[in-house]
Amino acid sequence: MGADRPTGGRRRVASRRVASRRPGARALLVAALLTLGCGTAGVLPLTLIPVAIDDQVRWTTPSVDGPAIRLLFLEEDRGTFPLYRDTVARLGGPDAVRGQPIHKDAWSTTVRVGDRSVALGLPGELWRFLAALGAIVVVALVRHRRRPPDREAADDQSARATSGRPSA
Amino acid sequence: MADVVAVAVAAVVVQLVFRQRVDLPAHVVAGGGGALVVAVLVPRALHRVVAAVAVVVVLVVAAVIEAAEVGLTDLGDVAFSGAGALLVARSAEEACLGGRRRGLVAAVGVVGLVVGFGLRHGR
Repeated sequence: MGADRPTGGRRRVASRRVASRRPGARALLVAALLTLGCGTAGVLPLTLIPVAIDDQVRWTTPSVDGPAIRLLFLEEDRGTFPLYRDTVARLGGPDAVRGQPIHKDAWSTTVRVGDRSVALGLPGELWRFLAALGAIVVVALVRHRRRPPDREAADDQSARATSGRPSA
Repeated sequence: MADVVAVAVAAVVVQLVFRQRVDLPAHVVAGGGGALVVAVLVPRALHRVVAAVAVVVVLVVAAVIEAAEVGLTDLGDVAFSGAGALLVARSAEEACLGGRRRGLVAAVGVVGLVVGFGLRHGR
């Protein structure tokens, strides 16, 4: 029984063969990383950390996306900044920031609001968002990886039949 | 069928985690449906990478629709569309190869899109 088991070298060769049969798995991994990058790029600005601001706060309002997010409006009409409620709380709360000058360099973890310097952080809501997204992506990749080999062979056969070319 | 269940379970879990965000499960469902529709339209020669192609197409289309509807592209929401598309990767590959179930997969994809858009705009 032990003699039938592949050695480390054989196992590596076998795994290389499987990998070469599944270029789709690599492409899917790239797509998964793109999805995770998209999610991270989407939620990081809600912490204000990547944003550069030199303006005055007009007001903040609750977002339609729920109580965890507030919209920050600035005096100079540069659109709105959706922020985590925790980030607004760090700035002193909706009432404290209204009318205050606000200055921040891009990717700095401190922001100046009025005469106060406030340290920014990564709120729990951000980690919850990334954990939920990451869990779905990992589950999807694991489910794809567990595809039965016989179905893969059937796919190969079907592809050869449609292209009319023999396999390499 | 298993992929449809996976998308439904993921949408329910996302709704339970983010109780105030009806749009996030909507993105998961629409992303899964959109990926199936894309997979049916992609040429068979690309069947090995069709799942990845479907995910990228779903991400781009979701970003464009978000920008058109909301005025700014919320990449966080868009990512959940991509996650939904990833969940149907196996079905996307099978649908691209063709067969009798191709029409059924396309129909399921359209239903997913309709349900997703319905959830997104029905709140």
